[in-house]
Amino acid sequence: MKSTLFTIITLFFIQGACTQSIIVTGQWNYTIPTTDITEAGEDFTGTYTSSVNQVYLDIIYDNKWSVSVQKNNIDWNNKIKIWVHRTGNGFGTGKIKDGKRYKRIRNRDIKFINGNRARYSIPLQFRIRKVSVTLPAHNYVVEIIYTLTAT
Amino acid sequence: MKYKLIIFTLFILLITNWGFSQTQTMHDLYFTIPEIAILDIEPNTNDIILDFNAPIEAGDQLEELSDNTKWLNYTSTVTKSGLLKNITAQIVSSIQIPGFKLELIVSNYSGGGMGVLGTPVGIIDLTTTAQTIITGIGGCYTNTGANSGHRLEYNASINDYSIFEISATPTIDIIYTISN
Repeated sequence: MKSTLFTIITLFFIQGACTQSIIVTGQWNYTIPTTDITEAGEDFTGTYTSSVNQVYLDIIYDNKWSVSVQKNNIDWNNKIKIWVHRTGNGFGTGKIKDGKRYKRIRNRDIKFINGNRARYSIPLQFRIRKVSVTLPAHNYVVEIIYTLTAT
Repeated sequence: MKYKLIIFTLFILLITNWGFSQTQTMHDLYFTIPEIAILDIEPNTNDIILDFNAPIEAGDQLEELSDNTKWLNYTSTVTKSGLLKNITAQIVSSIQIPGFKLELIVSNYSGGGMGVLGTPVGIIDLTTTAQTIITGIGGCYTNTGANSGHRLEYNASINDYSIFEISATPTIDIIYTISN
């Protein structure tokens, strides 16, 4: 009986030691400049890109992991499409792969980055497409959610 | 019994905690489409020159003069609950020409634009008072250049010879305004 208790307590502490966390720093706040339309009669150029390191992701885990991404419409128009990719590897003891090509962020989880152990300051860049003057003038807001999963 | 209870409790905690293998983080993304209203005359804003020719036969009236080379292009955005936009036209020249009439006919939209394009009111006599020439403009673009948007046709005539008076070649400035 005592050995069973010891085993469970040990497992409990081992499991507790496997800390996992994902932290995002930054956000993107963009307003289409009025100079986007150079001549009356034109539509917006329609594609807007953030800086290459608009937000940073820190991933802390001691084993293999994957990060997926999705959006949650707070006040959004689904005709406006958002894309994300990572523009660097960040730094840390772990490895990182995937996510270099733009992935469209949808209202459901999309596989984004894979890796292992800790990676810090992974730079992300966003792109917004399909924007037209036919959409209502508005301050749109969307939540970008990153999910770290042990694999 | 005491051990069994502790084991059971820890086992449940272990299972539930082990199953929690996902962690989330999030940030907001703000994207603003501004309200826009711009218009332009195409293919250019060069002067239109209308010269009355003397009638061939005495007793005839001066022939009406026309020009339909200009087009009105515009781009507009409107808010979700915002008012649609209108375009007005008015003469802003200080020179008055008694007995002279300048008629404006605005055509229906044509071209490769998209959205809620405006509806012309038809024919108006241009005066120094702003008059609505196109209504109901929503979020749209007409495309650019001649043959896109609304064709503008000007017809100049003398409507009252008894007061018609002209001393030199007058210039008439017409201003177009897009607004809510």
